[in-house]
Amino acid sequence: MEAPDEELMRAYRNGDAAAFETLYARHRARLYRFVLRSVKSRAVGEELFQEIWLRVIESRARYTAQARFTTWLYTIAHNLLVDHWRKRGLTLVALEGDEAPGSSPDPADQTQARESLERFAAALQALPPLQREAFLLHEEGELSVAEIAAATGSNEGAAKSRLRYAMAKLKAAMSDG
Amino acid sequence: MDDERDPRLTKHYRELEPLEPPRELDRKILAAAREAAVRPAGRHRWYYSLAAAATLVFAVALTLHVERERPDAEMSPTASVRGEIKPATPAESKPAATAQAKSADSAREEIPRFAPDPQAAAAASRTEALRSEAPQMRAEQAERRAERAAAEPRAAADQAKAMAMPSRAAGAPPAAPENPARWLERIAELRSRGRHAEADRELAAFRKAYPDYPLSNVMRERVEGTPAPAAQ
Repeated sequence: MEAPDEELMRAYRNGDAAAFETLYARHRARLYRFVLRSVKSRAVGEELFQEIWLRVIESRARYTAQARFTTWLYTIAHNLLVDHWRKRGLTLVALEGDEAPGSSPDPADQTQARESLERFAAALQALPPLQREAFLLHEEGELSVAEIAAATGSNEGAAKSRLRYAMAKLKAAMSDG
Repeated sequence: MDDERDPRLTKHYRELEPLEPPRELDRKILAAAREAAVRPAGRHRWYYSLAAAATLVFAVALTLHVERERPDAEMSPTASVRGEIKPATPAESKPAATAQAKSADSAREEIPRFAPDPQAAAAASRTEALRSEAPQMRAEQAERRAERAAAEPRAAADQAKAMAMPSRAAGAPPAAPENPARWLERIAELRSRGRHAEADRELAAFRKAYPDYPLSNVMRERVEGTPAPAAQ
């Protein structure tokens, strides 16, 4: 039976480097995708990805297993992403349809997209940042609505609403084909 | 919808480009994690360790300081105070007297801090009273001693010898009534050394032997161990 994340994190906090390696192997790919699909540039995404793990390492003494490790990890990721978005001047306070648009793909590319997967990818990139984040936390982090709310510092109603809007837009993009 | 997923949506999402962090990035992060694992976790632990060490050092230093100071305070404040008015031998120099005065000063300052018991406080109070008259007493003593030395060189030599061996001189009762001045000096010496019971006995014997011997205020204070009455 595999050790739970929380136990591994406690072991790492107590000096067990191997526990961190297991934890990292378990979450690296999902977190990497979450970050890279939240930003435009791969270089920026990789920088943020590294920074998130360094924060985990530095914060190990303060880690308490009151919440799931995944929620804690994605909370750190969210905070760094918010900093990144703010630096880029993106507005994050608006909700739903009024929310600032994300990086819209070129409409010409969009219309030329023949594969539904491509349309799906384009729709994901076109989502407003907070909706996209809610969807990615749901898919990559496997967080519940309550956990999404906790990780993003919002309430459950807002988290649920963001997720709902994101899923509706993505479904619409798939149906367009 | 809460935590329900749309399988079609999830399937589409999973079919997107399978992104993986590059090996170089993995290597950097794992190296940082390994390096951190050998250090104590977090600034808080480091901070508390340092604070604990600083507290320990402070406590040890304070204890050592108190231990060093205590003998002075416990060495009977009266002893150090009376040491100041101890009759000076002819060989005593002025710097020595100054040092004694300084010692008395420091005792007076330290007593309330390290020996706050009533006895010590009373002693400190006596010290203060005595100290204020010390220069006058020293002058009187020096004058008397000079007179005695001129008149009784041998007695002065005996006295110096008695000072050099205070326990024997102070402890041995006189076989016969001796020179009253010397006797008083010996009683004062006993008093200054805190041997009050002996001093009291000797003083009683002295008064029996010389009931009418006039005592100056200073001498009375020295042999009785009480502050001198107001000047007459």
